[in-house]
Amino acid sequence: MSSIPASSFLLLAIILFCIGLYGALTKRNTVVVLISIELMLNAANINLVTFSKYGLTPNLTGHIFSLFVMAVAAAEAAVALAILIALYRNKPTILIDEMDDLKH
Amino acid sequence: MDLQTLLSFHWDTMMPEFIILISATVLSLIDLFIGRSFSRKFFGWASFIAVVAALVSLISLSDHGVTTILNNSYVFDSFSIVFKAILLIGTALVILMAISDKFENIEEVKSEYFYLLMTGLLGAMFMSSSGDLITLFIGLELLSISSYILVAIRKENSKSNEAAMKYIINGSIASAILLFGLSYIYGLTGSTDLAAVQQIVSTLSGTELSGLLGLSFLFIIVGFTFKIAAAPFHMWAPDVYQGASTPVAAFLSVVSKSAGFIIIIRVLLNIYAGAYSPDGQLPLLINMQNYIFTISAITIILGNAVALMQTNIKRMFAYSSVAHAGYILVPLAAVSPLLFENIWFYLLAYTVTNIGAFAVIQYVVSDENNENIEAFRGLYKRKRSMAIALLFFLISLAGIPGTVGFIAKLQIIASALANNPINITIVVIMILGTLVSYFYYFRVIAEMFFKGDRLELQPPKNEIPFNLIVVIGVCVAATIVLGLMPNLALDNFYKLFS
Amino acid sequence: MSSSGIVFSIIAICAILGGLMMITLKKVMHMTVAMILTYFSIAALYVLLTAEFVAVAQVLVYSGGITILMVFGIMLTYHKAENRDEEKVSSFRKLITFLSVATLGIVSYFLVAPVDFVAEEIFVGDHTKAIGEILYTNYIIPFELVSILLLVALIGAVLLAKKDKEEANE
Repeated sequence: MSSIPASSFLLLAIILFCIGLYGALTKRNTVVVLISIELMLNAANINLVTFSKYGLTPNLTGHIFSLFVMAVAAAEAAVALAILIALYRNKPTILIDEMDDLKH
Repeated sequence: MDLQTLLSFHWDTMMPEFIILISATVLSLIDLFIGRSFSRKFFGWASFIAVVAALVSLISLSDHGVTTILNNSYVFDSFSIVFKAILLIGTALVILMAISDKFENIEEVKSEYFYLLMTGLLGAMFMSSSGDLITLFIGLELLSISSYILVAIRKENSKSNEAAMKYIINGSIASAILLFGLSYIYGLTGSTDLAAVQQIVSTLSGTELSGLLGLSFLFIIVGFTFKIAAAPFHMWAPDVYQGASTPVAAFLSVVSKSAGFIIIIRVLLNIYAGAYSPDGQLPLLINMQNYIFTISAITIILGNAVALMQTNIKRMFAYSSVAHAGYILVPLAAVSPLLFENIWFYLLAYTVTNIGAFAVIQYVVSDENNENIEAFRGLYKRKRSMAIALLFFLISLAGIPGTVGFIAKLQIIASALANNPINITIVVIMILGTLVSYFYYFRVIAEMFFKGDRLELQPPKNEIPFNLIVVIGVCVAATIVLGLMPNLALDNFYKLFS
Repeated sequence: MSSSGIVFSIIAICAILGGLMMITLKKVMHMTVAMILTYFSIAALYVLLTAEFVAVAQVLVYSGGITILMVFGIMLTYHKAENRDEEKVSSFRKLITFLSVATLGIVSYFLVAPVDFVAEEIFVGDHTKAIGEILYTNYIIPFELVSILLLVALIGAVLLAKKDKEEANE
């Protein structure tokens, strides 16, 4: 299994991170933006797990860190959707560019 | 590791955190079990007492000496004591403000308000005393998620919902980027313990991997500039401040921002100050100084320029707080040796003046049901004490001699110049920014003192609530006393660091 | 290419495909489902990296929890016209964003390419037990902090999403 170089894992993480970042910056639908953010967090997790096998001193800390990230991601998603539901109750839209009550 | 080792740590140094944690939990349980008809008025005072108790216990621990628990995942040192003191003072004042918060005559006091403020504070406190990337990240997220909910808590108000939505989306993107940077740090060093990271990073100099270290620096700095609302990631601040209730806006502009600077100092100085650039000459931080320099300059210019155009008082203060973030970045950009002291004193000055200003804003805005600057018209004739208090806060924010804001700015400028004359550019930008800021601060002052016909003016409908009198009184006193005798605070600071 | 290399390539292609589908599909529900493909591929990647526990957690939390949460979010805010992600964002802005993100990706790749760490067997034996031991000793403070964070998220989500009593009675 060691035949796969570390950089291919890291490259995959970069590609996923960029897809997520692009989605988060261009999509109009709030739910899609949230999914894109989850993809970015996943990319960071791939890095963490990769580095805990490949590294100067491989250790399990990367696994622990990625588990913490998952907990945080779930909490963030739950709060974001709760805010979305509260928003939808007052103003039935979930499109980001129609959220323009606040002056610019 | 057995129980014996676990118990051998100095858990007593965590006393302030335990007090906050226990009182937040107990309050949430009480909230769950007492009936709906029960008044929850006492929640505010109870949480205020808890925060003050935490502050007292922190002070009583101040001569405890440096302690670390579990491989640096909790560090108790002078750095954490001084910055935690700011966080606790800031939150205590914000809680006092929140007790009587009204908007459009709706009582805004919600019991959740207070324990969410305390969990946010808990996150910030762990950020200031952690030497481990995981704990830092979790503390940051605890603070952020509590703040998202606090902004959204006026859920019948569509502006508030919208502000919260923007905040959580921008905040999550920023923390994802930050996390991506942190994952490279872990990868390059194989550790999340900042002390170990620092050691290994210093051996990376000259290798090809130092490029990756630079990349991680960029990712991390993006995540942090969002947290402190520095340009170009400040766009959330005005919307969120406007949509959130006034005490929450004060919390974000003071406690959340201080926590952002704390984590910046912890991470940047620990990791990058020891890392050397690819040519093996200068520490990476010195190389990357230009980025911080640019961020700081853009933040000062943009924050002040856009603040000039605002008509909503909360948006104006949001941009002014963006500009202040730029000023606080100057010591970092200049890498001055007195960096801790400068940033700490500036944050202290900013905390007392800004919270005081927000307390006056809260009173006027809820009395007039109007968030525009016109709400302050003729305030001097209507409510003399309020106008004079706000005058002190505004001239302190503007940095006029005799106030604490002046001393803080002077220190930053003096030590930046003393360190290296090249810093004259950033100092000039800072002074010009300050001059521009006079225009918008004085616009409010002019509105209060010189405008408004005596006959047209209505006397205020509500008396000033007792809790706001306390907040404003404390803040005015601190603004003046620290402005005349800054050594009262600085001596304590030096005593801890000697 | 070795057998593990082939496995890796297949997984990587699936993961990227899921991500691209998420970006390009029109219906929000389809996008959400496309992400499940990515989540499962990433879980498979973790198995390849001998991180079985993280892989299982990935399947449970992402494919299970977060996707379901998103589906609920879509259903509770269902609005026919809006659950299609139509082309209203100007293509110029999209192009600029694409170019800058692509630049970031390429630069990152060149900086990451020199990473030539060799894989090592980090732990022989029961990973899950080792993770548990570290989690409950060295990382007990962040662990407890996460429990507070989840509690805060729980209280916040309930507080924000529930209807107030007076409203519900009307």
